[in-house]
Amino acid sequence: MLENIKLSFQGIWSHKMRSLLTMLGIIIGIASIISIVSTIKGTNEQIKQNLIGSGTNAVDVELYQGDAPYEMEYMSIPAGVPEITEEIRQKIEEIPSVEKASLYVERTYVSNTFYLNNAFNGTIRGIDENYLSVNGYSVIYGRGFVEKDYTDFRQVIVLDETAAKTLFPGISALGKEVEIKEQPYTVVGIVRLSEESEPVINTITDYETYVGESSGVLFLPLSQWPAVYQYDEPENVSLRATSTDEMATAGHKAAEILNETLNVSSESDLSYQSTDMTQQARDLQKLSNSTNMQLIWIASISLLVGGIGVMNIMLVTVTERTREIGLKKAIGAKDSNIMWQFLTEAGVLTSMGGVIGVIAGIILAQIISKLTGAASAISIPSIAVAVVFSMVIGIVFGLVPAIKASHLNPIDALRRE
Amino acid sequence: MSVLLECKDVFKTYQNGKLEVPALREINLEVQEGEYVAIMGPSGSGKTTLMNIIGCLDVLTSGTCLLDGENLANLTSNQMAGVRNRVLGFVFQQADLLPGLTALENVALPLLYRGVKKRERLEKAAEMLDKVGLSDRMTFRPNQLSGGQRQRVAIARAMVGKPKLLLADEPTGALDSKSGKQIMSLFRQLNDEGITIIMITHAQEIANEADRICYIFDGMLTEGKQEERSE
Repeated sequence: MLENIKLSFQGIWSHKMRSLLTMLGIIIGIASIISIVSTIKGTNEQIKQNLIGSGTNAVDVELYQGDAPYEMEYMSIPAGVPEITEEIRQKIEEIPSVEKASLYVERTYVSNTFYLNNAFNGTIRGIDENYLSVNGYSVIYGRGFVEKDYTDFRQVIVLDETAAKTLFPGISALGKEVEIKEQPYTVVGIVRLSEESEPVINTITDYETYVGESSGVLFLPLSQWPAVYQYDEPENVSLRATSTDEMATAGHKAAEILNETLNVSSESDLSYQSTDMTQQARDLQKLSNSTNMQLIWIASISLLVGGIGVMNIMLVTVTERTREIGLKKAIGAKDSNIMWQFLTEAGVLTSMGGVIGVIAGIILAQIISKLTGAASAISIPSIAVAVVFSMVIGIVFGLVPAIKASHLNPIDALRRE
Repeated sequence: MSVLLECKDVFKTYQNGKLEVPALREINLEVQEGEYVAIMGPSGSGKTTLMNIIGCLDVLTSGTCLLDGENLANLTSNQMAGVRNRVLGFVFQQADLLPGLTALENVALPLLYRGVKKRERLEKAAEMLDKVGLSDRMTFRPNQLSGGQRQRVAIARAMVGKPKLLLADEPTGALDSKSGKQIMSLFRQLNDEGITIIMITHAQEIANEADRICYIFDGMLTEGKQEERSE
């Protein structure tokens, strides 16, 4: 077998041009499939990243009424929703798929928040000490919140970059006082989502906020929330899952724990829910997969054409090498020896085409991604499948020529000059 | 001495459309082990057909032909390949070496089909190349060798499997007289070592090298001198 493979390489090498032309069909077919698959995979990963956020794996579990998040802006404090105690928070953290849990309260499209004449109407979030780290924020100026901010009820705030730009265009925000509902708050820090987790989008609302003109987020210590808004507002949980794949499970389990604490009547439609973004990501991926599946089918046709090309050339080769076949038979080669020789040659030829095609496909995918901005990611299994598949093409389409060669009558073969 | 080849009433007819073309008619030939036989005849006389039948490359139409105890009339194509590999060595007019392989690899090829391990194959091939005087050309490829050298490689290839019968079809036909003489002395040497040789040729001076000459004409075989036959 090894000897056969070695002989095949010699055969291929001694007819470089012809071998290259024969492989070309396979090369083009495999290259187009690999580049399509890489583009699909890249797009899918981008969808996942855009929607779920990579790196932070943050999941929000919010109080819902029916199908919509409970909006404190327009509703009164719901009955039967107790405070989320430290005990419950720790219980959530004990879920195997949860790394860290934090609490927050939120208002969107706020008003009555100013620095001099600059108004802020983005999001205000009352957060506990863990929130910033759970959601992948890092401090770029000043500091985050410390324990004393909570215990001493300090009137301090942290801004994200967008909020800082809105309220303090062109000037430093640190140390300045922002008025929230006529209460003064000192800016102690500016935060930013860490690079690799940008954009982190946990809910569709987040997504809309992200794509719409976001005016940023203003963070307030949770202990200051009643001073601006109300006491006993229902809190939400923001947690970090151990991995992206665990996000759905983590959110689900946390919601279960929180729902057990609810003291509501059976007719009430209040419940804690986590938004399973992985499912939505999957739906979007499915869509892009099905469009690209059709492209793969078209590319497969070129593989078929390539295979026919291989068969054609192998048939010519058999005719051309009749004398060699006759001689080999004369010195004792069995029909099966001759058949294996030609099968191996076809297999080696197309496998080489496959390998070249894979390399060309990867390069092509990179070029496409550079030109169109679409992401591409190399899929190792698809490379393995492509190479094996091209070898199979060689063997399948080499079968007819190989059988023809093995059945040649040695005297007819030897008579040929 | 035992009989290596025994052909009795061998007929071979080719079918050319509806026409039956007789190529061999009532061939009777007996070759003892260790003999050196030349079969002479003009082109179209059927000498190559006879060699193909003896060489297990073709099947006879009727009659019996025993080679080393095997009845060639009832062999399958795989069995024929086995006989070619074990009992026979072929030397053709063209050396027919594989261009991609070295002289050594070409010589070792028959052993590959016998399933001999690589190391042993190359050892035996080297031994055989040494014997034909080409031990310094082992790694040369066919296009780096002269015609005579190529033919000697082909003889080494035929001999590497220690065959009982060496079949040569015009072995010097494509060579200059000097190279031809070298080949002939090599044949003589091999025969002296006990190898049975059947050589087909149309040239009298080549045939004279053999111990015994058979003439074939119009598919019929006769022993003795051509002059007698043509009279």
